[in-house]
Amino acid sequence: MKYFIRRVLYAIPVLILVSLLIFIMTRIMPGDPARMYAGEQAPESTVEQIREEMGLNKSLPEQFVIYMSDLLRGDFGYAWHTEHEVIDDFAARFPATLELAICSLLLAVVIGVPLGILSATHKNSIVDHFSRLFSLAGASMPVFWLGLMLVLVFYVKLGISPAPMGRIGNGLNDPTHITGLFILDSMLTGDTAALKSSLSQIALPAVTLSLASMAIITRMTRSSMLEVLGLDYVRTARAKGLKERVVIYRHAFSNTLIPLLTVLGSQFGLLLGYTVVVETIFAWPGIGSYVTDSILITDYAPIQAFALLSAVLYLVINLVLDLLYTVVDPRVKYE
Amino acid sequence: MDDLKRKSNQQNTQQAPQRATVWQTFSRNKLAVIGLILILFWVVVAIFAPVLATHDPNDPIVAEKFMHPGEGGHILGTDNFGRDIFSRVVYGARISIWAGVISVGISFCIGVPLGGIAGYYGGAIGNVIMRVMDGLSAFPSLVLAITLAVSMGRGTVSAMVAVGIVSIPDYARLMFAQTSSIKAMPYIEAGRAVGLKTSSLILKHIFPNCLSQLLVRATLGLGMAILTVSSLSFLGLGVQPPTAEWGAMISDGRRYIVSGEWWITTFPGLAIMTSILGFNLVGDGVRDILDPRNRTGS
Repeated sequence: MKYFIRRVLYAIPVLILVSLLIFIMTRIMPGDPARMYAGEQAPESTVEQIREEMGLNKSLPEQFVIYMSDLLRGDFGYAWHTEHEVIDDFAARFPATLELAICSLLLAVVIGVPLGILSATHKNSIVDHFSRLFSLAGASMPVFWLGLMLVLVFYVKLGISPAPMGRIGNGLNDPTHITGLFILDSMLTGDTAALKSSLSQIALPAVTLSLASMAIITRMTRSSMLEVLGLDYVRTARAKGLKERVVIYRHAFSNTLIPLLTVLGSQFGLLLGYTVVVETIFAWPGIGSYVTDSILITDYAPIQAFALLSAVLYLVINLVLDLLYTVVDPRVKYE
Repeated sequence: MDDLKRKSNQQNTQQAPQRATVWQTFSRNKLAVIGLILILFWVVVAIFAPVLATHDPNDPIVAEKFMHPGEGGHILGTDNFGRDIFSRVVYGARISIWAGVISVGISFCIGVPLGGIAGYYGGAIGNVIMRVMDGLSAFPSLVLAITLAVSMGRGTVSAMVAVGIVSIPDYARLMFAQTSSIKAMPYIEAGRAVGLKTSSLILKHIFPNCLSQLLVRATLGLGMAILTVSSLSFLGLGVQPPTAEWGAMISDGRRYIVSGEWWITTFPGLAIMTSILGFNLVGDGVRDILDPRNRTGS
């Protein structure tokens, strides 16, 4: 508990620093935000007025204080291209991104971990060669290209997959809003048509988003399993006559959980970045495609808010994982 | 947690094998050799781009739009403007490799001194530097790269600088860890006792000891930098049209996937993949040589 409080307290200066970095970035950007807001044709007096309203003629430290107090009140600025508060746009689009992220992370773990274990227990077999080739390719493949290639093969050539357009097929209504996660909502309401459609819509983007993480998880699981399998206590377990399955899963695998958690934490950051790219390709109406839209028309506020919130989320996730270390490995104690 | 830290420190202090055996060990690693060949291939392509290219990479020939690979003398076909894909891929190698080298150069040249200073002096300066590094790495890397690139305005230079800044903490941390452990060693103390300047202590006596690890980091970083720059270009932030860049080419061809013109996106993607694969394989290979513990793992 003490450790937890200390970790949370330690996160505060990092958060202030993170906001300071973003603040600096907004001040080095070329062009005048007030002018951009007012439009090219606006007279200088209007721009001056907006500058005053935005607080841009105050001193930098004063501006920073105002900026921080806005953030604390949950005010992340205004997105002029949607004419909404950024925070409202985020809230509306968050479930789509969350659903995609959960599915991808699940895929990455559910496939990556067993593949890594199999590859380690059958070293130099065909499975092993395949999994190594796979993790090499996965780590080197640009996500945006992979997404397009999957669309090419599964939609254009084979026609198995629906058009890469959003979360649910044409002509279908969104399932009744409960959690905002279409798969879950359609299950809860018993809407089979929506469930089928949303599953087939999410398949390609989820695979695309997960592949890089899957590759790294496979690789990580393999190498830490190999390391653990060579240790004396595993030999002892075998010598005791324990079933191979028990040796591998209970004895060896549980000791690879710590590196696995560490990798999961870093994969989360990767995932946050890649959602921008993947959502754009599949016209997925989440936060990622919103950020791309904002990039294309140079609307700064959503991009900065995205950077800030993903840093916060990344910190929180890593804190949670740190605490999970004690759960998966009783030897790890925080004092 | 302390246990984990101690373990990783042990790894770091393991000695690298003698120089003579490095190439032998490296060449025994088939994958690393393949990686080296891939890198050399793309470097040669980049250098001889004007010789290899069959057409002007930026010259649109309206009459030759959407030609299939092999059609009308276009080895890899043409794009929606009638530009020759083969020539664009070849010229794209120049931009991508340059972008990779420059952004890694930026992270290296800023990160290494920062980490060195923080590690050597420690105290308040060290703390401030390393906390700023913590702040930078609190962002997911692509997210930070996007934000920086947006702030600095679209263009190749701002994309390279953005990608460079994102990786500064990697090099600073490595250098910091090494410097703070090496600075307590007797030979550094001896150097100080004979009156060597701090800068020469860091540069001539500490830095060479970190070089091998920094180089592994840089090799792997090159692949990552090429990938990130092309991702930025794909999002419309990095290299601007009509310059031939792999990520931008894929972005251009994106709309034509559905209508069946697959070659516009496929070939630049293969180019990105093979070049990154090259750097990853070589980086892994060198890391295996430096860290015997990893050799059993791969």
